This record gives sequence, C-alpha cells and structure tokens, in this order.
Amino acid sequence: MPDDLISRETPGVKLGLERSVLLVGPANAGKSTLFQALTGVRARIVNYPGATVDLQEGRWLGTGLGRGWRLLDTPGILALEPRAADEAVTHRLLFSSREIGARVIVLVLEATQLARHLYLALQVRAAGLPYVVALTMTDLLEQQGQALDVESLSSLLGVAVVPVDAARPETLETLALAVSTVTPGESPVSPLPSWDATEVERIRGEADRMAEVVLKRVEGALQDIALARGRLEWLDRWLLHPLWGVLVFFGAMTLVFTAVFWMAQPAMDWVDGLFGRLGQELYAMMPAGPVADFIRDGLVAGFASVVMFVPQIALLFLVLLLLEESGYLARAATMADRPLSLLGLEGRSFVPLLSGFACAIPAMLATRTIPDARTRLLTLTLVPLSSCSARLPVYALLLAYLVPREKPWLAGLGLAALYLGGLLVASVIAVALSRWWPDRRSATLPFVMELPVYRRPNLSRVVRDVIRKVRSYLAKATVPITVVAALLWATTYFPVAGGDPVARLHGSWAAQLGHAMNPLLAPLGVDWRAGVALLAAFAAREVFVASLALALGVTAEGDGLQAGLLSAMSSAHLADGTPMFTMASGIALLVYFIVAMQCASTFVVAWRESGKPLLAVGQLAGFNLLAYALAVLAHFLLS
Amino acid sequence: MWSSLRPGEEVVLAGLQGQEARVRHLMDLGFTAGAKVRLLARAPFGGPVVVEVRGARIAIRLADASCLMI
Repeated sequence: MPDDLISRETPGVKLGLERSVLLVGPANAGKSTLFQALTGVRARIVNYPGATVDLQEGRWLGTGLGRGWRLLDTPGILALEPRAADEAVTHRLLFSSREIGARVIVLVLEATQLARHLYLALQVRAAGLPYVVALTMTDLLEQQGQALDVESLSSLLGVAVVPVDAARPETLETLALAVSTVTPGESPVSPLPSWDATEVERIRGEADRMAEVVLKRVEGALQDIALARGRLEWLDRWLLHPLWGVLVFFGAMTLVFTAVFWMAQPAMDWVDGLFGRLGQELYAMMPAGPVADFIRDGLVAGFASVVMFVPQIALLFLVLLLLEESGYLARAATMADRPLSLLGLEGRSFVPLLSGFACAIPAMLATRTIPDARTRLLTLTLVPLSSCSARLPVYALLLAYLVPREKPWLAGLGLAALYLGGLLVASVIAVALSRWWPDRRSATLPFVMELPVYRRPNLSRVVRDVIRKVRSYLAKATVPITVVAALLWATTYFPVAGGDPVARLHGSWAAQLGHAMNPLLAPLGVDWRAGVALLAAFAAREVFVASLALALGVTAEGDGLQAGLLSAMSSAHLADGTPMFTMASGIALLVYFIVAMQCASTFVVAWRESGKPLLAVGQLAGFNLLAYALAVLAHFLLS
Repeated sequence: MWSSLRPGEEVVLAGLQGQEARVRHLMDLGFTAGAKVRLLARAPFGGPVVVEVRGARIAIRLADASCLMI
C-alpha cells in the first residue's frame, strides 16, 4: 500500500497545540455529520490510490481551542481488527503513526447503540490508543424517556465522554476541550491486537455490563434501548415485504433510471447547445482552416463531451445519496442481493448496472457505494455491457434498415431482443469472470449489511457530496477525455485537412486504417466504409450514424439524414458487386454494438475510477474481441 | 432453522459455528451466545434474512445465517 497518504499538506505536525484528530467509529454512528459540523464545507478528499475509499480531511473550525487541528473522517469499523479493505484503511490510520504524526482519536459512538458500540471502545482502550468518546443521538435516548449517566461512563472508561450535537456548537467546544487534554500518541502503542474468541466474549460481556450500569441509573433493562432506534422502523415491514417491498424497489429503481436517462436530457441538450455556440463563436473569430476546425470540432467538442456527462452524474448521485441518507438504499440492496449473488455480485451492484443502461460514466462512478474491492471492480468491469442510451441511435438506424416499413412492430420486438441479448451476454460474462476471479472474501467472511435507521436526508450534505462527486469527475476525466476526443477527431480530419467533408473523410487516416482493416471487416460482410464509422464511434457510439453517412457520401443534415442514409445503405455495394448491408451484415453490426466497448470516455473513467489501467485495457480489448467474434459468428450463421 | 422462522419471531442464540474469521466477524456485529435475535423479514428469491440483534438491524445471507445456532 502507498505510504504517501495524507502527508502532503502538513508534513510533520509539530507546532505546539497542533494535532491530528481521527474520527473513528461504527458506520452510521454519525461520524460524517460530526465531521461536517466540525470542518464546515472546506473539507477535501484525500485520495487513496487504487483503494475503494475516499477519506475526508478538513480543519477544525471555530474560534475556540480546536481551531486549526487537522481532522480525518475514517471508514466505519465495528471492531479493531480489519475485515474488509476499507476497514483496513482505518486500521492503518490508527496503528501507523508515520503518515499522520501525533494524533488523538475521537471515538464516535451512538447513544442508542451503546451496548454494541462500547465493544469497540473497550478494544480501543485495550490497544492503548489515545482517545475520547463523542456520544451522538443522546436526544433520541431522551425522547424515549431514558438518559445516560455520562459521568459514570467516563469514569468506567477512564476517558472523557462528551455528548455532541452538530446543531449545538457549545457541545463541539466541550469536545475540543476534551481532546486538548489528551496526550497525542506519536508512535504505535502496541502492534495489531489479536484477540481470540474467548477474549472477544469477555470484552463483549464487559461492554454489556458497562452499558447496563450507565443506562440503569434512569430506567430499566438494556432491551429498552432497542426501542430507541427510531420512529420509522415499522417501515421495514413494508419495504422488505415479498410483494410490497418488491414494488417499492421497482419504483425506486425507476426513479434512479429516469434521473439519468430522462431528467438529465434537457441539461445535456443545453450543454450541447452552449458548447456548439461557443465553438461557432471561436470559429468565426479565426481564419478558416485546420486551426479553426481543430478549435471547434476537436478541442471545444472534446471538452463538451466531458461536460456532457455532468448532468447525468449530478442527477444520479442526487437520487442515490437521497436514497442512501434516508436509509432505503441498504434495503434495496438487500432485496436485490439474491439474483446478483448468483452472478458473483451482491445487492449493491444493482444500481450501477441499472444506471449503465442510461450511461456507463455515472454508473461507474456509482460503484463507489460497493465496499468490497473485488465486487466493486467486477461490477465496474460489467457496467459497459449494460446497453447504454448512446447505442439507441445505432440500433434505431440498423433496425429501420432491416425491418420492412409495413411491419414497425417488428422493430420494437427487435429492440427488446437486443436488450435481452445484451443481458444474456452480460450474465454469461459475469459468471465467467467471477469463476476466474472468485469471491475469496465471502469464502471466509460473512455477507452482512447493517441497515441504518430511517431518517430525513440532510439536504445540505447531499448537495455538497454531489458537487464533490462532479468536481472529482471533472478533475480526473477532463484532460484524458478531451485529448482522446481530439485525437479521434484528428484521425478523421488529417492528412487531407480542409475542403469538402466527404472527401476529407475518404482520404483520412481513419479511412486508410479502415482500408487496412478490410480483411477483418469482410467476415462481417462490410467494407472500409463501415470500418471508418466503427472507428469514429470510439469517440461516442452515436457518432457511428453521422460517420457512416459521410463515408457513404450522404451530406444531408437533420431530418433528411436518416432517409438519405437509408437509401445510400441499400445501394451500397462491396467490391465484388454484392450488396453491403444485408440482413446478415446488419445483424452482425447490431451484435457487435451490443457487446463492444467503444466509448473512449468510458475507457478513461474505467481506468481513473478503478486506478487500474490494465482493467480498462482488458475491458477494451476483451469486449471488442468478443463482440467481433460473436458478430462474425452471426454473419456466418445468417448468410 | 432460519428458514422455518416466521417474521417477528424472536430466538436466543445457542452459539456460533463455522470458520473462525466468519464467526469472529459475526461476534463483532453482536451475535454472541445468549443474544436475542428477532427475524424481521426475508428478502425474496431466497435472499438474505433481516434480523435485529442488540438493537441493530442486519441483513445476512442464509448461508451465513446458518453459522448462528438457534
């Protein structure tokens, strides 16, 4: 693992009161809310190369004692020993001092879950780590007519225990005071603690007894604490119901899908129009020629293809984070788990794979919600096999060509067959990949998901996270996508440069490459003209249509394009005089588009998101080879 | 067995069985001998069961639930 984590901004925390504070605790205990309250909006993401987790880093705000301390929000843990990759990150931060220097741990525990969460506190104490306890959701306990003896808890643990409430700044000041009294630990106090089952039972028992002592002061038994979970818990009876739960699941997933597929469309059209005008303005300011063409059609259009995905990403994450914050997403993952487990995936793979049917880019970013590294990468690998909306114009063109005009219903049937075929291929590949890359974790660790309490989403945090997501996408993808798009433009523009677009494309490097590919294209029943369109489709699949039109000499635009293109396709002949677009070659092209990974932006995002260039190259090569083989087979069987 | 429990039923864990890492993780989650576990729901198609233990709600696949002896 890389060692440069977190060290960039503050090398060596040596200044007087300066210290690093780690927020550590079980998932859903309120760490992130506390983090946001302590750091405001100026937090930044600390990337952890190749790993599945984002760490948030910020500075303690306010005018008081804690001002300027460095704060890190860590992935949730239940116990000190790491089980999954993200837990290992927390573990490293706790036990390796090199990266963050002197630090104090703020252990964030939920008051209503005290018996369970004290177990972690006792482990932290046993490991000798310097810590204080921040108790969240004490108000929930009070609402239930219960209270907690903070002082006895503090004396039993031997450290400060501070009830915190993000909405009450004075509680955060008290927390700062508590942290300031702890001597930061500079070096690991003890190596990785390893407890056997008997020891675990003992710690668990001590935690139970301790919880009983500090909670009994007010009223009754430990079991009552379970009731304090929340007022919406009855929802589970419906949302996990075999019938109603499934209906709600489909409703929620429809919302996710329409967000990417449909609601984002106006914003995407606006972005498209904006950059179209911008390119045109710049073009008009320059003398006509290759430079002006490059600015408009290479650079600006390439940058536009980066920004084009922002509405989809923003809307997908808005819906996704709202579902997650409300507590529903974990339920949805539970409902979808069984079918996906047969493919070697899990319930949380569902949303990315579904979003892939709209667009692979936001879908790949959504794989971040899968905590297990292997399942996440496998899901990310499979995303391009979901038939994205950019394939629709291609499907529409080829189906319009193949289906007799008097039988339009056949086109609908054909489209359904394409999607089903795509699902079938994806399932086969999923099973094959998970055979080859077995789930070792589930062989040793149980598959469990904690279902968080239902609650009202924190809108400001959701919006902040959406903005962060978009910014991180732009930071990672802008340069590579623009460069690749500009390069693809250049291959269809040079060496002819300038003049009439048809002649330019016919003399281009892409066309030369298409000619060279003729032996490969012959088994599909097409020649270089389809080849050049296939190459151009690497910029974006829908570009296939416009490029094929140019390759076939069709210059009509707008509504005339489809009619002109269809008639040009029916009169196109191969060198031997036989028609190029037949039932066999048309279906072969469709088969190719179902499976192939063509989109250069998808390639860039797969590489940047997984942190593994080999994975992206493997996708590109593997899916294209498979698509080609299946297309050749289809052509062979049909002709 | 877990497959014969009805939603809403509560049982007391007799103990845990299985590989050590798996058992340890389940113990971290709060599944210990003597703990009360309530079945809340069962996901469709033989999916995970959702149980309540020590005030937490946890979805657990049937294969893993079989480590929890009742």
